[in-house]
Amino acid sequence: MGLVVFLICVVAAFNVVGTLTMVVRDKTREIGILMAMGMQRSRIRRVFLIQGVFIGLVGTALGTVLGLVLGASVNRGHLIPIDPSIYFIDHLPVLTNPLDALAVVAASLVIATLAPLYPSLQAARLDPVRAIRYE
Amino acid sequence: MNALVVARGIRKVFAGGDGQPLEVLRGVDVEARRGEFVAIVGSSGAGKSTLLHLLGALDTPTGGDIWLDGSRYADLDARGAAELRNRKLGFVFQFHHLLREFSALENVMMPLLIGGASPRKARSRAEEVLSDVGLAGRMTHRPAELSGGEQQRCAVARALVHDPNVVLADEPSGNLDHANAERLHEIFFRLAREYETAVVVVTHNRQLAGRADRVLLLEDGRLTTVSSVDAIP
Repeated sequence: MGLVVFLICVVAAFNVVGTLTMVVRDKTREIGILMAMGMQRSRIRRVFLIQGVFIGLVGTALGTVLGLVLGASVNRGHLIPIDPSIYFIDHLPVLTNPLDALAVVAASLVIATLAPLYPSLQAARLDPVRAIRYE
Repeated sequence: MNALVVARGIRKVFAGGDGQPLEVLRGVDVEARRGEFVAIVGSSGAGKSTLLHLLGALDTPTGGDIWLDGSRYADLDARGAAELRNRKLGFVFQFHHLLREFSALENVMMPLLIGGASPRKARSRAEEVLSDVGLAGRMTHRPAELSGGEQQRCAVARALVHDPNVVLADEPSGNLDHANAERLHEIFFRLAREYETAVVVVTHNRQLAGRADRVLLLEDGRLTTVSSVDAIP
């Protein structure tokens, strides 16, 4: 179970890094323009950090709510029927362990904080002259 | 020294495609005084834009020194250079380079907001300058909703909104038709005089160069003063 959660978290981290790297690439010229107008590199870094953390927070919140609702619905509506002559029960139950849920939420929040670090550093390190000329 | 921006012995060497060093600027001296309009002309690839980037503290020279209003660029760290760009420099690029997600008004407010001005103060000043460039009725429009001439006038407003000491313009009318270019030059000249801003403009446009106080020719990595635009080869 722990391994599955770990792998899901790794995939999520790659998604955040990939999305933000694409955003940095897409906004390269704009970053150069802001630098030409005197925006500090630390502020540019912060913009992308905040965006990454925001994506992570929204994803964690949505994932938590959807997971709990889906689990409860599966239990209440007996949505996954199984053969009772083999398994002794007529539906597959979902066991929601609060500690597991908390661990997943905590891991997601850690990823949301760490994953945007690299793309935001990339954005802040751009050379303004190259960035302005970027097509 | 009453010049606002002074560059002495500027050299810039790039690594060429064949690995050999390519010396684009070979000891360039240039200065601009308050309210002065300096045009830099030269063939494509002569290093005009490179010189402008160096004067704008966007790039560092291989040799030589640049001062702006007493600040020596070599003494500034990245934070100091960014502050200098924000407070004392304005840029106009050939392709307007407005931020596409923001309205004309928000684009013009941007240098002031970056500098820490309150949104109300920034808005009021941006509205004033946009009116000065004839865009009072287009403030809420995004760049894509403006014509080429309007986009460049908006870029001029953005370059002047924070009362910079020096505006650096790279082919500001290079992408415009004759009528729009003429209108942009008119506005640019009038506002630069009004705001007592030194303007260094890189251009191929003889008409614009002809209106400058001084015309400098960049050739073989060196700047020479040209007596008139007719003397430009």
